[in-house]
Amino acid sequence: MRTSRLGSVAAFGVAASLVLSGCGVGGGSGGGDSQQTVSSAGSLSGSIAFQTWSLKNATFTPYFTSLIKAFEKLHPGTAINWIDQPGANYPDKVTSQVTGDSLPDVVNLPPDIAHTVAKTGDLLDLTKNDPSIAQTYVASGLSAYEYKDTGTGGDSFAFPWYLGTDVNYWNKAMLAKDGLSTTDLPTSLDQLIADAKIMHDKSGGKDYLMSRAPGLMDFANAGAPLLDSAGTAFAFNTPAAVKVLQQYTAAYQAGYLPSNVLTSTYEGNSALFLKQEVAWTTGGGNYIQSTEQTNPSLVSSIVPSAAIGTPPLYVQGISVSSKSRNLPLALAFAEYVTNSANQAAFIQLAQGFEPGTKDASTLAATNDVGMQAQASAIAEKDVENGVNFTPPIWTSAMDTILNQQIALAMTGKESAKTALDNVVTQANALLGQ
Amino acid sequence: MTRRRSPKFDAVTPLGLTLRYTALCVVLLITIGPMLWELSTSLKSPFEDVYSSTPQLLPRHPTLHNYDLVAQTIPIWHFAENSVLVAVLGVGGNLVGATAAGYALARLRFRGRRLVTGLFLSTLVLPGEVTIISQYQTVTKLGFGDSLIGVALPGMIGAINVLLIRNAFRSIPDELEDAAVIDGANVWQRIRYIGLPNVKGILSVVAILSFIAAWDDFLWPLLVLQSPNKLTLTVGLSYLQGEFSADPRTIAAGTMIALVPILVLFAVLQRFFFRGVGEGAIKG
Repeated sequence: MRTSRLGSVAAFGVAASLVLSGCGVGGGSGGGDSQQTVSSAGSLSGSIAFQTWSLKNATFTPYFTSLIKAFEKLHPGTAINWIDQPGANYPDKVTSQVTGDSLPDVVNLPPDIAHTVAKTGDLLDLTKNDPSIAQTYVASGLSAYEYKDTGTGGDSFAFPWYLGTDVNYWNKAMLAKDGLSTTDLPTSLDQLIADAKIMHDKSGGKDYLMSRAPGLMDFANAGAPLLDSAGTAFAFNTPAAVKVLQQYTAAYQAGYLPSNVLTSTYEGNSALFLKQEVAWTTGGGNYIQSTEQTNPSLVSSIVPSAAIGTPPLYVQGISVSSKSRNLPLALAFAEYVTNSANQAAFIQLAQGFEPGTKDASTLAATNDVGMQAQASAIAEKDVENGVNFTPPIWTSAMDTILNQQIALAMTGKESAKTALDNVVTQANALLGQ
Repeated sequence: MTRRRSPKFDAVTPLGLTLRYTALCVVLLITIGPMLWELSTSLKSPFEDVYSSTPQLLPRHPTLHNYDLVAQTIPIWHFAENSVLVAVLGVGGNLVGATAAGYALARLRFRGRRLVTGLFLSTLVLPGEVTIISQYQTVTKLGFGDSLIGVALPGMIGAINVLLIRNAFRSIPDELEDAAVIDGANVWQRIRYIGLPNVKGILSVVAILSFIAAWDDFLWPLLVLQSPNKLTLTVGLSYLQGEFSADPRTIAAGTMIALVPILVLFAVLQRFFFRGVGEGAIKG
């Protein structure tokens, strides 16, 4: 499961679209033009504000201080004012900044928050302003910031900055105890369920391998396209998705998953993994490092492996406010932060993450050690193949519907087909609002 | 009020006693359990596990290092000062403002009194999330954006506090005030000598509730404040939970530091607090 930070993002969709578009208080009316071209002639001067998200700490503060110093030295007469926002409630903070006309000139946004801001016209269209954008940055990162319902369609509203993914983590000790191989790890859903059965049977139902209900990603991985061909409505109620849900339902009813995965007491697969109640979890590329902080004695039992199916891609990008009073400087600094050399230096501090430019990963020599090095290497591969599954039109309200219907299906109150049909119908109905 | 004791129903049987104490212990565990867990986490050393299937409450190698770490990572005392300022404004504003408004609604006769009471009640129905952005715009347009005044302002007179105090004033018998009127007391004297002494309990409830509301609020100060040196404690503490590094031990230590003032305030005021909770409930 994701960290709280990424989790909080999902809650944003509804709130923001309500506030920004519904109530008509969006800042889009006053002077910002996402399609303007910024003149690059002349020398840079003046000052801008640069906002990052949850990166002010002992590791990253020195990085940003020296990054800004180097830029100011390169362009005398400029000043960058760095602010960092806390992890929690970032979407709300950005909404208030947009409505209050105080969005910083250069701002770190994930794709879904950037989407709501781009819709009000407050983000600069970067494809228009950086002719070499497609050559410099990785395509999967750029496409995460291309929205069908805003801009000209194929334009990106952020420079990809750092990319994360999910890696599988296994509890070696638990696997061995229940007679499963610690080297030949499952690489498909079928194998996973088969191993979950062995674990369940060997331990007398005490140990679990799997501990989460399926989600959008699992349906996409089974070959169900999430959206219809026009990309404007959901259409994942396909036989492939139905089959996945049926497999999970059968596994759940056979007792291979803890019974509380469908209830509100569910703590998430990562929490259960830390408590050593389950032997498998997915986590970011830095999961081993973060476990070292929380449960050091568990670290030696963790083995990483590549994600099952197509791995998910989580993107962070650097956007430019279209209302910036110093657009040339803002654009230049956004490019500077995300250039290959600076990204490579950033990634050295962010274990298990990958840079957003094409040639930065070759510059970045990792200094990770042990299993974390192995996990980082797997994460690097996963990011290369990764796809940002969640469509920007997917909201937290739709997520609630999905979870409810999946719970109904897995407890046998509804067929898998009906459940998915219901989700698609209800989610599409929400789209029209 | 006294009632006749029934020898049958009121007899304390060993089973009844055990059940009562078990129930009490269960509730106690549920309420203070999470706090104990935080406390124990904040005392754990870096090589102890934080999460386990059976919580390990006693740290094997207790250390105060995490508290040091909090102070090293963020200017916690400065943030605490900011929080105290906001909380003092909140408590002061509510004690003065809500008392005045509550007295007016309970005791003074003026046109539209019922309408005003109704309006107060109706604002309670609105969830805060709905109004927060317009409230933010109001505060920034007033020129209080990025200031501690702006953080405190919307909470300085709480509708619920006005209603609590109004009900407390209403429970004072009319005859008392009528007597004071005959003796020539004006409104302020009646508040001072008849009203306030009779609602001390509810005032301490309002003080504690508004203190906690101001002290614990996260979202509102996050929206209003921009400058790093103006942050309140709750917002400042969230910097302990970074994207790439979140040590639950230091986060727990920060939480414990934030909890202390509330515990102290409650310990000081608890005598009045429990009386006050009763006051609002029964009309005498």
